[in-house]
Order: sequence, then C-alpha cells, then structure tokens
Amino acid sequence: MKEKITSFQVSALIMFTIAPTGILLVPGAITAFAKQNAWQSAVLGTLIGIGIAALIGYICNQNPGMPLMTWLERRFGRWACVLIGLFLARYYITVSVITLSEFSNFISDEVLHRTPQWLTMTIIMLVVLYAVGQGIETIVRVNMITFLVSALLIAAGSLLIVENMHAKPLLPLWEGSFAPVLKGSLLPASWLSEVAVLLLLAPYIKEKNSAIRTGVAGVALAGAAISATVAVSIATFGPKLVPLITYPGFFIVSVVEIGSLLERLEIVFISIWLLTMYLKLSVLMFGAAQCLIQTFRIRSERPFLLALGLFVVLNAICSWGNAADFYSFTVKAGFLDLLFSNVLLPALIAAGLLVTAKGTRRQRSYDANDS
Amino acid sequence: MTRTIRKGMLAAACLAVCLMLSGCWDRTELNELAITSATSFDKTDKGWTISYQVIIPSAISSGYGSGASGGGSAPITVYTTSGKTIREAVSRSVLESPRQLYFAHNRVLIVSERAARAGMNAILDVYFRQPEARETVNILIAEGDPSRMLRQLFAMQRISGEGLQSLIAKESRIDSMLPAVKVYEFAMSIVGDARSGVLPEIYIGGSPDVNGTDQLSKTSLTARLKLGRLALFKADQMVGWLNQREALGVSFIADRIKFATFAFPCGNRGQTEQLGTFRITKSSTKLVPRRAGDRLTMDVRIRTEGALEEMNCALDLLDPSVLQQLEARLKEEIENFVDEAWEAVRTQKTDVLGFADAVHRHDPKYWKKLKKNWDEQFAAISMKTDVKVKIERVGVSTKSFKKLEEQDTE
Repeated sequence: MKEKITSFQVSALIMFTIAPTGILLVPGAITAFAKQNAWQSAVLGTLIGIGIAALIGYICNQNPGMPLMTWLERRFGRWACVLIGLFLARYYITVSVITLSEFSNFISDEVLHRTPQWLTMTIIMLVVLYAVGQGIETIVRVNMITFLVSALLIAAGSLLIVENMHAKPLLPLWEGSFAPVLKGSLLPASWLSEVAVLLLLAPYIKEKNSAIRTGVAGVALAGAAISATVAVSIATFGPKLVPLITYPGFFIVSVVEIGSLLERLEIVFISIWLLTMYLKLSVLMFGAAQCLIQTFRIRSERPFLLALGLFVVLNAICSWGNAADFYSFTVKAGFLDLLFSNVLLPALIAAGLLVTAKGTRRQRSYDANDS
Repeated sequence: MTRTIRKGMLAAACLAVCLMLSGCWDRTELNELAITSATSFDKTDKGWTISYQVIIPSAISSGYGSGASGGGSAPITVYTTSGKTIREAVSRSVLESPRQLYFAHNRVLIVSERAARAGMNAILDVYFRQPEARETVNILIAEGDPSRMLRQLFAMQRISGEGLQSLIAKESRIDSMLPAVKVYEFAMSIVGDARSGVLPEIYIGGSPDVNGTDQLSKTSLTARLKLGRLALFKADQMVGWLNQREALGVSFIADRIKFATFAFPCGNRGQTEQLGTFRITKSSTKLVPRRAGDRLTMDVRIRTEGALEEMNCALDLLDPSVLQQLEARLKEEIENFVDEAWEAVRTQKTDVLGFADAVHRHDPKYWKKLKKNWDEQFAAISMKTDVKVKIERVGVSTKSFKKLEEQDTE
C-alpha cells in the first residue's frame, strides 16, 4: 500500500474506465429503442449508476485501508475470499477481452483495414502490461494528463458542433410510453456499474472515507459524457439515423466543416480517444491482475502479468467468429455479467458486511488498542 | 558495463518499436493513390457505371489556372468502370489505373436521373459502410450521362469537383433556391417522418463541352456547369422535378431561406411590367397544424425582412404608405411562390415541406393515426399562408430614378 492517489484523480480514472466504450456504443443501442427520448434513458441510467456508486462507496468505506482481497479474507474467511477473488478475476478478464476486441475492431474498421487483428491486439496489450507493471499511481498520473487534454478538446469541439445541431429531432418530448425509456436506461446503467473497480482502487486513496464522493463524482462525469453524446447525436442526425451509425460519437465531429479550413476533425478526437482506451484497458487489467495476485498471494508479479496478457489476447482472438457474434455476446451476456458482477456481488458483500458487523467493531477496537 | 549493454538494448528495443509505427499492412504511399475529387453514379440494366474525377497532382502544381494561359495538361482525368454492384465497379478500377482510388477527398457525388429513379439506397449503404468515404459529400442529380459533368472544366477553379461543391454551397447560402444537401442530410430526410427528400440538379449549359485546357484560353467558355431544377424524392426514389420558382417556394415553407433575391411587380395591382428587386436578409417560417374533425389545416406563417435593391416604379420611398404598398405586393409575390410550390408537391404527393414533422411534434397521438397513409393525408391538407414582409432598407437612394425623371418632365 505504498502508492497513494487523491479522490479526484480516482474519479477521473473511473470516468475514463467507463466513458470510452460508453460514448462509442451506448448512443446507437439505446436510440434504437428509446428513439428521440434516448437522452432521457441515459440520464435515468446515470441516476441508477449514481445509486450503484453509492453502494460501492459504502462498501469501500468499511475497508480500513487493506487490499480488497486481504480485507475480505479477514472478514469472510479464506474460502469466501478465494471464491470472490476468482469470480471478480473472471469478470475483469472477460471485460478486458471485450474491451480489447472493441479497441482492435475500431482500429481495423477505421484506420488499419488490412493489418491483422492479432498484431494490433498484441501491441495494445504490450503497452497496457507496461502500464499495469508500473502501478496504479502511474496510470492515474497519465490519466490526469489525458483528462485535461480531453476537457480542453471537448470544450473546443462543442463550439464547432453547435452549427449542425437542431432541437427538432429531439421533439416531441414525451411521446409513447415510458417503458422504452426505462428499458433503454439499463444499458447505460450497466456500463456505469463499472464503477465497482473502486473496490480495488479505494485502499490507495489518500482521503479517508471519501469513497462514496469519489465513486459518485466518477459516475456523474461518465454519465454526463454519455448523456451529452446521446443528445448531441440525436440533435445532429435524428433518432432514425443514429442506430445505423456504428460510432456516432466520432460521426458528430466528422461532419464539422468550416470552409475548407477545418474539416475531418474526428482524427483529433480519435487520437485522444485511443489514449482513453489504453487507460480503460489498463484499469481493467490492473483489476484482473490484482484480484488474482491478492487472492493467491502471487509474488513474481511480472511473469504473471505477461501470462495474463497472453491469456487475454488469445481469448480476444479466439472467442468470436465475427462481428455479429461479438455484438450479440456484449449486448446479451455482457450486459448481465456487468450487472451481476458489479451490482449483485457487491450487494451480497454489503449484506455480508452488515451480518458480520460485530466482527468489524471488534477488529476496529483491536486496531485502536494496537495503535 | 552491464548497465551500458542494458541501455543499448533498451535503445535498440525503442528503435524496433518505431518499425511498428509505419502502418503495418496498411502502409500507403502518397504517390500510389489516385485522389478522387468527384464521383458519378449511373445505373443500367447490366449494373452500375461509376466514373471518377481524379486529380493529377503534377498538373496542379505546374500552375494551371493561375496564369490563365490555357494549354498544358488537364488538372484532372476522368475514367469509368462498371460492375454488378457499386463496390465491384470500384474494384474494377485496378484493371485500368496504376493507382489505387482514394475517396477521402471526394467533394461531390453526381447521380444520374436514371439511377435516382431506380433508388438511392445502394449508394447510401456504400457511403455509410465504407470508413474512407465521407458523408459530408454533396449530392447532385444529372439528367443523362453524369460523367459529362465530371469532364467539364471550370475557368476559375483548378479542381472542378471542388468548384462544383463551392457552386452549390454558395448558391444555397446566397440565394436559398436550391439547398446544398450532404449525404447524411439526404439519408436523414428520407428516413424521417415524411420519408422524402430533395436534391439539386446540375447540367451543362451550352455546347460543345469544355473538356480540354486549350478551350479555357478564351474569355467566354462554350459551355458551363449550371445548377438547374430541384429533384423530388419519395423514400429513396426520385419522383419528379420542381422548377426554380417552385423550389424557392419550397425553401420558404421548409424554413430554409437564408438570403434570397427576387423580382416583384411594384406598380398597381394587375400591372406586371414594372418591376423592383427585393433582397431577403432574414426570414423564418413556422408551421402550425390545426385539426377540425378529420380535416387537417396547415398554417404557414412566414416572416420576412429585407432591402430593396432595385426600383423601376416612380415611387417616393420616404413615404411610409408607399412602403406599405410595396410590402403588400411583396407579400403577394411570396404567396405566389408558396402556392406554386404547394400545388407541385401536392400533385406528386411528396411531403418535402416538413408538414409530417410539424404534425408529429404538435400532436403525436394524431400523427400515429396519420402516418400509415401520410402521402394521401398530405395531399388532402388545406394550407393557409400568412405572410408578413418588412422592408427594412431602401438602399442609399430614397427616390426611384424614374420618379426624378417624371418630376423634371412635369
């Protein structure tokens, strides 16, 4: 527990753990069923996400500052710790595999059409493993630089895209039943539930008992980014065209043309987005590695990281035959996995903590006596 | 020593990583690309015929056009390929071009009337599927062979594809008669509530065509690329044409007027020989649907401001009652544009006016009933226009020249 990071840095990291794939894939998927009301789905999803963040923050605040698995082992015993550790490691590995596939699919679709995906995946993974090897403090610092650059870029970008936006495609406001809006909110909510990574990050935060604030701020930032992308996509292209476009977030910028002076600006945004994808993948791989390292008390971390990286790359190469397989997996199974691993499991942990609260009190008094 | 070796190895590894930055399998050399500035699509019984206007970089850098000297090699070359599908036709280009076609700098897309009447879906699909193609390309419709438009040169623009895009962009900004429609905007309009759209026409006025730089050495070209009528689309298929007066009327109703200039009769009612010219500087249109039983009425409220640019009637423009009289005549003229447009689109049962959107937003429940049979419902609407015109300025001369002349003779 040598490394220390601030609450704001962690909020920014949570934002970039959620937003990069969220802004890319959520707008099309939720506009398909919530139509012009999709932005309401995103806002509702953000509110649900904030609730999840509060739950995660509550659990983190119970942790006296130990690594997650060590703490759970002390509270629930060895076997419960191994089970939770294995389950969480499986979850982080799965999400890393999905994110790596999304990342390399994007690069193949948009930039390097002929380069085989195994190569792009290997290069991406090498960079990510290097970042994970350097530790969470390094990842957080790089994240802050990216955060500042992207904040400036988004501010400049929003001035440019205003011209192509119209209020009409967002109207009428409350057409149809609320059911599609509610259904649509589940997808952003499941995306925002990735805030559960806070369980692993919280022990590194300098400020004590700040986990709820940290998680809520991270989710609010990511939710705002997703909601704004949804609203702007619909205002620019209308609710019927958005589901047709694979990457509406970049498409908004690609139609900006100011004379022949400023055009095809999406490449600037794609460059920054690539950085955020590296950060997202680094956090997820950090999660996968930490779950296994803490649970099984692995000492030689570097060779283990290499093996883990290889495992994730091979999974990403072999798991899906084509884009349709991948899409149906992420929408159906991936969605449930997110909710189960990030909401249900933490809820069970919270329940377990309440049940074993007596033990905590005893532990706290023991710690106090000890110090 | 081991430290030096380690540092050396690290440096070597860094250099090795640089090798990966060259683009891997996607390495492309600039001099292996054929950069297209305009593309045309035609459809026959056998499939698609695609023509490409490709930029010749050496001819452009050699100073064509800057000296207006004429002669020399053309800055563009045009060639045509065919195939059963669009991308098959494009892939056939390797049989005749040593360079690979590159579409990222394509400016305009010219579609033949034949292909437009058959349907635009295939073209839109290619544009949305290919990451290289940009959806900000302008679409134009041509009667006859569209590749003729690609071969035509401009006197003042080296790359005619770019010239064509500036032509339509300027027109839509300055005159508002024909809208500049980009691929994604067209796609938006044909999947919208009204499921219809419009595209401007391009044609060559005069003959013979200006295909060689030697023809550019004259002060007057034998033929020029011109914007013509407005093509009407129902879903992805073209259904007819609107003339320029009707097109201006459509722009008024659909609230697309930015600036516009038109002539109007300034004399007493019934006198149409004496004309003035009005330039619109600001205009807005509001569509308000009203329901009376099963009958739908559309109130079209147009508010326009502008300046007089020309006056051939003997009038004292400092007299407020004269301006009121002129405003009344302008109102009549705008109503004529609007009525002509309404009659034309009603006959075609094609809602390019934004009525479907207005009904949908105003009364979503009623829209649910109407949308299945919208084309018929649209044709049955009764339209009421309410036009208000304000002459803000009369130019720097307060009396018409004719008035001065008449005063002298009195």
